[in-house]
Amino acid sequence: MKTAKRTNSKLQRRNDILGYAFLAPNLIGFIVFTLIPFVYALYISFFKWDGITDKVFVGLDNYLALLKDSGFRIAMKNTLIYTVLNVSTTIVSGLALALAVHSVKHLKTLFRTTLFLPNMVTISSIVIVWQAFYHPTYSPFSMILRTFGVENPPQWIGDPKWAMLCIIIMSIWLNAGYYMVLFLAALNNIPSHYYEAADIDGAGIWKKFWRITLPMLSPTTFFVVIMAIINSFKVFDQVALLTQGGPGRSTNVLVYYIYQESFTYYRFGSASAMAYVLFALIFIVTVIQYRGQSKWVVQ
Amino acid sequence: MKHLSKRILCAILAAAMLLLTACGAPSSSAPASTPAQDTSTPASTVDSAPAQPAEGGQKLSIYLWDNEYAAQAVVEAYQAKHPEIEIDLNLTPFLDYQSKLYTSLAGGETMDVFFMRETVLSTYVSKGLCAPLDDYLAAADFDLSPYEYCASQYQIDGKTYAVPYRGGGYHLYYNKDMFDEAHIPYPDMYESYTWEEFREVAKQLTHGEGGDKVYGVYMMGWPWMQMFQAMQTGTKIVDNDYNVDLDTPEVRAALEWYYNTCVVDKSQMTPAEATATNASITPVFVGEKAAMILGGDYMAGNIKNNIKDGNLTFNWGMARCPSDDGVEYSTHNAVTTACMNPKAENPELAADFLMFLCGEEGQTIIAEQGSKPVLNTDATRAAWLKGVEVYSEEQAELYFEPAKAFYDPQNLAAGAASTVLTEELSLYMTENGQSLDDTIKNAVTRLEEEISKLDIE
Repeated sequence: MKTAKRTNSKLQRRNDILGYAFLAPNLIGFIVFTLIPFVYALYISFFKWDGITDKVFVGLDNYLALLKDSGFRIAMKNTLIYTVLNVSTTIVSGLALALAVHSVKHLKTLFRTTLFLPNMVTISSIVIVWQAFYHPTYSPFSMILRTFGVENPPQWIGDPKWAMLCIIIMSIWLNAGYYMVLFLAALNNIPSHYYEAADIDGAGIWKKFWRITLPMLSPTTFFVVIMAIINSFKVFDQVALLTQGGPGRSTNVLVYYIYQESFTYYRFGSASAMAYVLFALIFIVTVIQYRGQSKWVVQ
Repeated sequence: MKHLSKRILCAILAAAMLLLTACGAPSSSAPASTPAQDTSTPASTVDSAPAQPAEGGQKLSIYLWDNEYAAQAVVEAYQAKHPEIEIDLNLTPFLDYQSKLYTSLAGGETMDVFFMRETVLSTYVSKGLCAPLDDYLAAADFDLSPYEYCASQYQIDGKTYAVPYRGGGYHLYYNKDMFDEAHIPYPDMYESYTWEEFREVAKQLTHGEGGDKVYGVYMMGWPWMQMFQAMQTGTKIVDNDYNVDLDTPEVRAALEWYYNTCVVDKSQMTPAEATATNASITPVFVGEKAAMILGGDYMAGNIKNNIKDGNLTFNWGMARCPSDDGVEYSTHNAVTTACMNPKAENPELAADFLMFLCGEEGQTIIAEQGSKPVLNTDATRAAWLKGVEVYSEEQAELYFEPAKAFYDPQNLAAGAASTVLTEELSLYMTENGQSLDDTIKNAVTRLEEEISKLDIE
């Protein structure tokens, strides 16, 4: 008995080591490229530093300065607007597309692939196409509007009031397909006998959707919401490539502002402080979501 | 147990190896790990033998951006002259160049020479990123007097931190065919338009809608461009004592002029539209989307190449930029420079290259490539005329005219001025945009806020 236990634990330990060895490449990459910079950024967020001359310790000044920084305030507001609109519409359209594709009998694969395609193309080439769509004067949208008698159609990304909406619409188109695929997989996993039972009970389409489909999808929805929120807070590519934060500061979001703070103004301490505020924001939102999980996610 | 510890050791070693490779550490410092063997074992001699044809074979490393062909031609010529030197030319895409340069310098890169894409010399000097060149120039008896006219752009507090190598200079370029069509006489080469005349002509030359729209003028949305006439009267945006001089009648007049062309006359693209469409001056002019442009020294090479490639088929002319009566004529003229890294591995070689670059030989090559030499001699002028081909004697005369120059801020506030003004002005230069008062007020407040964050002694 005793020896068996010993070999067991020995075996266990051997397995552990093997496991760690396999994890090592990934773990080391994580430590070197993520963890160390992550901790170092916290450290330099307490300094005034241009990357070259000596660091000057300033305590919490970098954080306090953000309270008075108009650019930071605007970037924060823009990020929140982007996140709220982008997350809600992307998830609803992702789900709607998944339901639509799930219900068609023919060409299912074709639809699925086509809708997922934006995810497989590099964003810089996508932006070139959307730049044409959003051209302030030659935009096809403007031409359509003009034929309907609209005299002064919006200037799209040339217009401070429209630019953010333009970026959100492009982001929805970009990401809805990805969330659709996740929802599709979840839809396929709902046992059909639930629906059969509901049919026998005389439930209609809506009732089935609200009582069966939506609750059964909730674990996926939970994951999708978290990912969508995190990705929205981190939005950068679309802004950097389509508008460079403009016109004015109308599309300047947090990550783009952090980028400007670092590479236009070379204020790495202050930029790190902003990055940590962003991190805290994402962290808090995610924790709240996990706390609220039990109320609506079917386990 | 013995088994186990061996395995742990193996795992640790494997992990350590991975860690080392992950760091991507330049392993050139490897010999340090075997210093004890160096003195005695024959292994060390074997080690050093295959390393490069060394001895005397010096290395010169240079940072430059990818589309600076004239400077690249100088590097090639320098290589041809000194085949024994191994030149390592590091080219970075134009848009990423300045941030890559900065991070490389911050990371302690030891390149010998770097070119400056943006006018941020004083920022770099304040951070100790440019080596003073005075001693090297004095040792070589290099005469800087021919460059005196642009000394403020490469010297700070009497010290030389860079050498100029490519000149600037903006002129009015126009499409003669479009003037003929509209029955408008060509502008005089030296009797420039007043700004009001310029606006009127631009309006008359504008026609078409949608895809067929031809703008009367295109000036690019850079802040100093939008304030061109104010700059001519001495506006500095941010002067060297860090005063912001934007709330003045001259700046208001200049911005209103620009607003009128963009929004009222619609004879010019708005800056927001230019950004949104990636509009660039040469394609706009060559593609006949604008009848007139204010273009820089680079137009010479661009016009030549576009004529050669058959893209530019209309008759074109050039003249001085618009200027109001009673104001001494001046135009934007910023020179481009190159510096030596204080951490250069071969400072002597770097200095030699820099002197070659701005000296007669290098300048002749710059001229041959169709760029504007900073050294204005008969030889460089002749080389330029021959290289560019498509300019007449008179046009060359105007191109090299030593006109009074203004430039955008070149002090520590340069970066902030450019960012803040680009953002604020684009809000004004559009229909139903921000009012002029708010624009100026916001620009001043924000600029002063940025200046307060600078380290100014």
